Amino acid sequence: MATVFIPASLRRLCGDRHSVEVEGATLRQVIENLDPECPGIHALIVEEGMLRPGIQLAVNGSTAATGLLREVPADAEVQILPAMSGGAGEAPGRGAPPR
Amino acid sequence: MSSRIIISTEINGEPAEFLSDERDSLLEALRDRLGLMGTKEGCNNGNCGACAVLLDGRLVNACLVMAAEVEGSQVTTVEGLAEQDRLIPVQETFLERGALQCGICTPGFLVAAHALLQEHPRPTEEQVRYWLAGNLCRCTGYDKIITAVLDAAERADAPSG
Amino acid sequence: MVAPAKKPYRVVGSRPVRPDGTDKVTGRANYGADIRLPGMLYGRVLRSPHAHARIVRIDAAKALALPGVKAVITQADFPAAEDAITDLGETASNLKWLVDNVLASDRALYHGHAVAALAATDPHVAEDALALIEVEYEELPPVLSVHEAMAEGAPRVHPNMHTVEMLARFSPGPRSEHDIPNAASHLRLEIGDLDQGFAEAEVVIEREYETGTAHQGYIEPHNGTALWNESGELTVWLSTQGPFMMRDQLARVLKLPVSKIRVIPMEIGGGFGGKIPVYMEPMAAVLSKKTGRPVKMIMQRDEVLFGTGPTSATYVRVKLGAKRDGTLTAAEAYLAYEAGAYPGSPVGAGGMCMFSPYSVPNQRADCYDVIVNKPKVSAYRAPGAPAGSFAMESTLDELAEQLDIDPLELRQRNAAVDGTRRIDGAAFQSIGNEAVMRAAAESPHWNSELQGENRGRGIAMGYWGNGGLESSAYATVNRDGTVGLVLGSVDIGGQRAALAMQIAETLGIDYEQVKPIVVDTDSIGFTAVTGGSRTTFATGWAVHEAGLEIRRELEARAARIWEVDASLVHYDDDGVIRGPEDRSFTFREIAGQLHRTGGTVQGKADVMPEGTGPAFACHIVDVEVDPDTAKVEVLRYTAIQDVGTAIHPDYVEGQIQGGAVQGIGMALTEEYVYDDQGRLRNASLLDYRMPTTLDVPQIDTILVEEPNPGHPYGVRGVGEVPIVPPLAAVANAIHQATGVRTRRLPASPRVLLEELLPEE
Ligand code: FES
Ligand code: FES
Repeated sequence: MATVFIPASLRRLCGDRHSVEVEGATLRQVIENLDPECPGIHALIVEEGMLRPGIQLAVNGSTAATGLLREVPADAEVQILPAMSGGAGEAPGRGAPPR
Repeated sequence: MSSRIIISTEINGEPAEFLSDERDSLLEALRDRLGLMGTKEGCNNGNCGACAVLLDGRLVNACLVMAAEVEGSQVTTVEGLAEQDRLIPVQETFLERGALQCGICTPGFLVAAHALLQEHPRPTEEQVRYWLAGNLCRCTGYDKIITAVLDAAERADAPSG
Repeated sequence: MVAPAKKPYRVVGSRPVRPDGTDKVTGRANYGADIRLPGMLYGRVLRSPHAHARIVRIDAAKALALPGVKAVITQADFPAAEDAITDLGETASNLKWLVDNVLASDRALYHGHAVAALAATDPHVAEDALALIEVEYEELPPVLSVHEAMAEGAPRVHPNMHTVEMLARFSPGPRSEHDIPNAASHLRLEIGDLDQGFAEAEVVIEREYETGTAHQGYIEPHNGTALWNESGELTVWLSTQGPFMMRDQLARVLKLPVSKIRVIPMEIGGGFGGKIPVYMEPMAAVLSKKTGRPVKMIMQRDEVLFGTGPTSATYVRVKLGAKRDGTLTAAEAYLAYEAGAYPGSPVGAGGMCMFSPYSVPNQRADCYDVIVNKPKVSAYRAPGAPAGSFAMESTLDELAEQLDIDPLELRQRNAAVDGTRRIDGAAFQSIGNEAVMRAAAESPHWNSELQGENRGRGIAMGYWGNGGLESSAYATVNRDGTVGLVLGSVDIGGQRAALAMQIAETLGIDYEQVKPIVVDTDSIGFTAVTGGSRTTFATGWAVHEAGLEIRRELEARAARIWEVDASLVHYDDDGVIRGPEDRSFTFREIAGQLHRTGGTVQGKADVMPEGTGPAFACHIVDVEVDPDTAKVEVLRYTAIQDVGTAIHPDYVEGQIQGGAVQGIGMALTEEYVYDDQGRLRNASLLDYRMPTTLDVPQIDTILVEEPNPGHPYGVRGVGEVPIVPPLAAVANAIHQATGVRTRRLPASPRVLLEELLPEE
């Protein structure tokens, strides 16, 4: 199970929960499995099969360079980081290439 | 329309004669007419020192001097500091001390530091700061520039070897 | 996670002369403005004299009639832009906004907004022609501060814009439930339970702060020379932090495939985040297309201040809750940052960074991105962080005073450690925060006595996340035992040296054996900007991996030469390849044999490394405030920072010193001054006052090295965090010197005097 931390702006989709536990071996699977728990969240994060520009996902505190393709180890923490203008550290990476 | 004028001068020890626009500043003449691109433009307004050159041995901002004014004068630019194949001490210490980051301010600082060291071969830190106050550097915070100039003074002083 | 023990390195940690140094001290290095091409025209930009105006009519007939003028363009000469997002590496931005910012469409949205451009055979003619372009404006009321902009009933700069929740900015919805005029977006960051945190508190303190607009202030103005040839290929020479970002933006603005665009990065005279967005480069391209000649454009200094990204003016409110022993129980912030005329302020990073040096179980930050009639902001060194930290670190100082606890001690009691959660929920790993605070506590500066009247000492912390992103590099082994290192990262302050040092370390060869060059966008794989404190880290990864590939190839080659199995051959860290029966090759020896044993060897890598290491800094400053003039003199300054591993300590120190001085400028003198019509009144380097040699002392640095386990040499980004602490450090020092809390920066004599006078 991965623990997904829900950003404040999306908590109303998740019954005001701060975190949700879901299965998934990759971030793609994690976000897909998150949608039934937080209806509509998938569409806000994924666009045409890739991370929306301006959104980052982090696994155990590291920004996932490969986007949705990133593997998620067992018991990992996943953060959804909102678009933040600023230095590259807090900014969107380039999305992973389409499969 | 403005007109063209011919200017005769000596640049970095060589006689130079060139066609200039009467509205050209010395900075524009050096860069656009003579292709001496070492002298940099940061403000075109006398406020940054990136365009510092020596005019008859005096430190000036080339953007504030009209090209026509240098008729018959001697101009030294950053390209004229090194001797043959040897850097002068302040050029060496800038490199050794990491006194440049982006390097755009460096030509102006070197010319100003050179002028300072000609006049005060053993300057104090205060004198260095005073002489370089007309040169802006946004990258370094000045610390290593000051150190490099003080080092250069010592090096020029030391018996060569 | 345990940081790897510091290894004894051969090259890393030394201070060699940079490879591009000689050219830069002799005036030979070629910067963007130094390009000259045959038949070149000179371009200039006409800018709006109004902060907000409808453009009724533009008539260029008279300008075009001037001999020597070859073309005039307006936005109508660009392909139509639809709303779509472009990713700039440091900021994401809507294409329509990007194009409108390059050249205004129907409205000018700030004083200095470009409205037309022209090209002429001579720079003086181009300047004359500008005055001949007739523009009819209909002035509109400008919105000039976050307070004005967000007030109920305020005129909306973008009439159709509604506040959206930050995560959803670029999707059709959801709109925020609270629509606030000119607030482009709201971002809430939250962890824990704020109400409970304040309920547990024994002391609560709430304060407000503001900062002015500051510019990056690079000494080299923006420049770009474009040649759009007859077969539709565009070449652009310029100074940019990110040639590939520039290529991508040009492709989108001009609707060209990236393969038609070649961006050639020249030496760059400073950027600090400001040389990433497009400004006049697309204009130069379109002018070149129209005239069939190369067009060179260089901004005047006032245009740099008018028309390129400064950083946001800000309003921040902080509320802290603590126990009597100083333990923080709750931290709340409201941040409103000016975005300028188009969305995209770094307010989110402000909210993200300000509490990060501390372990606070309950935190919330509400961040508003606010449109005003001022230039669109762009990234500036740790974008957004200095203002937020100014607010937090000033309030902490006041809390320390109230609780009668030493200010550094208070910070140490609350220090974030490994495992502490940031406001976005992520837990820190391998951070040097406590080590930095400890080094500050042990520093000669902190332990010295400050004597004299009107003097005070201030201290503040800063945090920045640092970047990763994509980098490419390749390296070729030359016959003479040198290595050609090809880079896509432009060198803005010693990157060639820092990268050459890393591959030299990997290969076990001397630094002098590596010859780095920076190449254009046709010559290497995608490489993100030099910025975001990422280059020495991410491009460092790339050169390391390229080096590892060379090691493997050379092992294989040695095995072939010795006719032994490759598994018996080892490339050791000292650069010697050893095989059975005491056989060995030095790097030089095998390099000399490559061409006769199967050809040369190359290593290459394209990386997008994770594992960036966050940076923490603590600055200590002593000031003296003249009681009559309120002029603040900085007497002594010490910057302590966790740098991971200092690859080239001189350049690491230089980054820290430069960032600290920029922060001192923000604290004391630098600010855009507008009149009530929104006209910028100080668009020169005389009136926009950046620190000179006389305004600052030597900046002492203390490098704490807690290696980042996410990098082969332990690198953390170092470039950005040093601009974060100075604002509060200086303000706290002013308080100790005068008893006055400066809640608005810069603390210029005018502002400070107002505060000081009632005290007398
Ligand atoms: S360009 Fe001459 S002083 Fe700035
Ligand atoms: S080194 Fe960049 S301005 Fe001085």
